[in-house]
Amino acid sequence: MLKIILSGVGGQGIITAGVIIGEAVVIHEGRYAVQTQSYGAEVRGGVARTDLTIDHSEIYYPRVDQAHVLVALHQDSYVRLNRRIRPGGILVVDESLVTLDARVDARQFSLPIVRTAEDELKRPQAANMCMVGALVTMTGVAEPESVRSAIAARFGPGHPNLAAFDRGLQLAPGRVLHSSTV
Amino acid sequence: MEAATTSDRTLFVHGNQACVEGALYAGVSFYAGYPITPSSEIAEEMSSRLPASGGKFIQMEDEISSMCAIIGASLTGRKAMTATSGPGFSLMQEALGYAIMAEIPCVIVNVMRGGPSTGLPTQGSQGDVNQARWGTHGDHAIIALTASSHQALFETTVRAFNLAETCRSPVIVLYDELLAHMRERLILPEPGDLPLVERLRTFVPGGVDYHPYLARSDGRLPMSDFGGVHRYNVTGLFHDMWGFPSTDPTVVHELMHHLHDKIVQRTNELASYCQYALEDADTVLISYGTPARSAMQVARKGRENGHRVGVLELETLWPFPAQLVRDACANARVVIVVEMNMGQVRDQVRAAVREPSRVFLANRVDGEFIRSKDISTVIRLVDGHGV
Repeated sequence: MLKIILSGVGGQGIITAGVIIGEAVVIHEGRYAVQTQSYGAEVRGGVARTDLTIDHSEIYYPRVDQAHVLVALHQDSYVRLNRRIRPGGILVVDESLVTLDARVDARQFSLPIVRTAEDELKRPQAANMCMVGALVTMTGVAEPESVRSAIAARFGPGHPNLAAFDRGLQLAPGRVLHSSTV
Repeated sequence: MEAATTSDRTLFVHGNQACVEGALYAGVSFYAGYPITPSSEIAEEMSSRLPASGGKFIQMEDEISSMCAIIGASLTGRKAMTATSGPGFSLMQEALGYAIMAEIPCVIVNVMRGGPSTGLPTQGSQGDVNQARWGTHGDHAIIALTASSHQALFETTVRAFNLAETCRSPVIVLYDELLAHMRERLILPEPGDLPLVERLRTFVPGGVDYHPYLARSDGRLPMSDFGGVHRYNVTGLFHDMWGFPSTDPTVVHELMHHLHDKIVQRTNELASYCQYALEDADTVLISYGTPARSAMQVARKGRENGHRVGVLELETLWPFPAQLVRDACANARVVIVVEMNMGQVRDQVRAAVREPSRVFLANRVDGEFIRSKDISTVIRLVDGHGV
């Protein structure tokens, strides 16, 4: 069982990123996933968070209390949620938006996610797909091909989000989570 | 692992969409509603799906008119539904009573949020269980169903439409915000996989007397599409077999018993439920909706550690399956009801079992989801181990 929290600020596409991973796992790989989200009255701004649980068998408890992997694309969500990571877990942040705190007991990775989307891809709204790419490389949460299928199904074949995802795959330092259960 | 590539009938959707898919599978062709969190996605989805399949979607000015509109649509022969949350469900109660009295099939979905009043709009609760039972006035029976997963919610929604037709009654589908907004797998059944009950229409031809409220020997009342070949009266007053108001004590007595018996006498048949490891359980967890998922988590972990914990998950809340509960708890040392309210089903369980003093409540009413630990803590307390 793999438990992931994706977080950032409202408007960054955090929830969509969680849904894409869930669709890849459930529809294209035949495994189980449950996705929940904090759901407030705000449309933009405020901490956005989605919890993902992925397993080979039916999932009962739908929330993530202690995550194997936490992604924070914003300082606020980093500060508020870093205690949700299990000791020694994997924490991925955006290099330009989050200042790392060395006291957090996690393997922390700072990646140029937003900068890559803005400067290189000229598509700031695709930072979430870059993040999904990096996450796939680092954790093996889903096969790249099934994520591509999920993105194409949701946004259309040839959509720029596919290129953003592929770029994201290369942003990560390589596989850092080795789990036999996922 | 299952097949690597699943068919296009496998979806990853939120609970409100699972409800919509179930309703469409059941043949809904009319929706009237006033969107309200956390049910709004049902209206949103229906507003595109129904017109695309030849149905009608109307956004009404409020929940009173929404309920009235589905009653009218149902009378003309449509399978009709609305969806709302607690505050809107309050406004629907008068017309709900009318639908009960006039025996009009329809489905009302209430996605529960915290209450009373506008309460906690975006957070989960199960505070409307008793409202579903007694929200409208007068002696009446009602059917209310619930579910804890998207697959079950799909099937529950289909069943709600079926029972509405079979019993000629409004049927309420109750579920909580967490199920409404979380996403998980839903595999759409093929057409024909689940049985569907279609409208029972009268064979009486035009020009021949049709008695809209004359029951057949099996208790069912064939309907004639309103505005079709028969002219008849529909009223919220006690009425005779013609549908005309009556204060004749015999007519009133028989109608009251008919409305009551057609549901209450089928309590055991209507009782839908799931069970886990109940056979030798000394600790029985009774739950429904998403809290049942935490109860399952606790029971499975408990069994791994040698504790005799079992789960009875109710999918029919009304009429309350008292005999089912009594039997499941017969050998239990402790019964713990797990729900997100102040004990609405706990009270029913206490009334059903032989030893009410053994029934306890594990609840949360702060908008947060019930965690396994919330349940384990109550088990420890009841067992005398402290927190």
